[in-house]
Amino acid sequence: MGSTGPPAGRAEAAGATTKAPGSAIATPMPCARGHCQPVRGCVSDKAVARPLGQARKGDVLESEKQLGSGPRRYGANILRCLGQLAILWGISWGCNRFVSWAHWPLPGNVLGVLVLFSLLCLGVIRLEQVERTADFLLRHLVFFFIPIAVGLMEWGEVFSHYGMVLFAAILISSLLPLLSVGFVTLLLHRKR
Amino acid sequence: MQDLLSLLGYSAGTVLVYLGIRRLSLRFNHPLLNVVALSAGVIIGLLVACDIPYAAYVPAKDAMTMLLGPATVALAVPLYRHRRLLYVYGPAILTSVAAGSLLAMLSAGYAAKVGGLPQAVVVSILPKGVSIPFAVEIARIYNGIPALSAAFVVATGTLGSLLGGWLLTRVGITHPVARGLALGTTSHAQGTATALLEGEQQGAMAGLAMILAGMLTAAFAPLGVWLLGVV
Repeated sequence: MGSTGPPAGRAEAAGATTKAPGSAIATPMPCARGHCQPVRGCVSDKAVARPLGQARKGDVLESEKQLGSGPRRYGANILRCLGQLAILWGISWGCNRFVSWAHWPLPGNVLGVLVLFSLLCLGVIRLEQVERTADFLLRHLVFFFIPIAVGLMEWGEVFSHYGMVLFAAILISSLLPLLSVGFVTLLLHRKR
Repeated sequence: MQDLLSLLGYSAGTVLVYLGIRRLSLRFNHPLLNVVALSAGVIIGLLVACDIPYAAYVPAKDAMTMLLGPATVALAVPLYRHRRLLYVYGPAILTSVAAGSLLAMLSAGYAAKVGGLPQAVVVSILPKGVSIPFAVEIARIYNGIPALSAAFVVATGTLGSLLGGWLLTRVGITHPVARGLALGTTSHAQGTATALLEGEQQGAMAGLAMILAGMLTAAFAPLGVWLLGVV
């Protein structure tokens, strides 16, 4: 298959996505930011899926539909979110504990992602049992890195000493894999 | 009491700075307007201007990052929502993301080692292509410096989202799946945002690639550390 022709997998994948019952990506969304910019490849009247499949503030999630309105709903929502947070926290804590106990050279949270994914696939945990809190945490995921990045104020001299080397290392190691991933994917596609 | 007050003060300040910069970046939506880099810069500037040592900020940092664990685990939710894409493109995604992650890690590590960087910095640069929750943990496991890793991750993401799309077009990679995977693997969340601007499928692929690259890099890290001879 040529790289310019319409990809055959695309329609297939799109069809598969729309068929997903009760999943949030099945709902056609207006542009993710509400103002689709005329960027290359982006058709403004086409539905744009969120990259992480996140729900936004205005979306009505499955878990919210059966709730009423007013202050009662507010309280129920907070309790629900805390419960969902407890599930996520429990998985994260348990996996971190397990990894340090078993001396695996793997971040506990990586195991946590796999565990939650498996539990979702097996149906032990249903999507609506975690999605509200998960979406909230993911929307603000970058917040948690700000305090970590503030730690850089202790490491200023590394940048002044080795600035050029660091820049070169990052430049090489960004562009090389970018091309390799692109070409490997194309290669695998042509083979099929 | 004094400790609690300062902890609350620093945390509230960080949240305010974050919300302000987030609003700005949502509005202007440019790769150079990076929320982590700008917010951390503003906070470092404030701390330096007020002559506050970093040690005073550490308790607030520990309190604020308590939710990072559950937030990272929550990445399973988008992975699950896009599981059909995984079924359709599974082998292609896994092979190319694995190759890309390994290459990113080794090329960064070797370049840093050849450049004569201290060992801890070499370790911190290894996970620079994956999203920060994974990078920070990988750095910690191998005695790297999480803050440096976060900085390298942001630098990589900015570079990738600025140059990535242009370079891929330049070498003739136009297939949406390939573009999405390449952007997501090498420049994580920032690349995903760029891919999303190109289209729906690119965005979904980049989101998947970003999460998988984080997990695969974590799995490959022992190999990378061993190959580079840094522990």
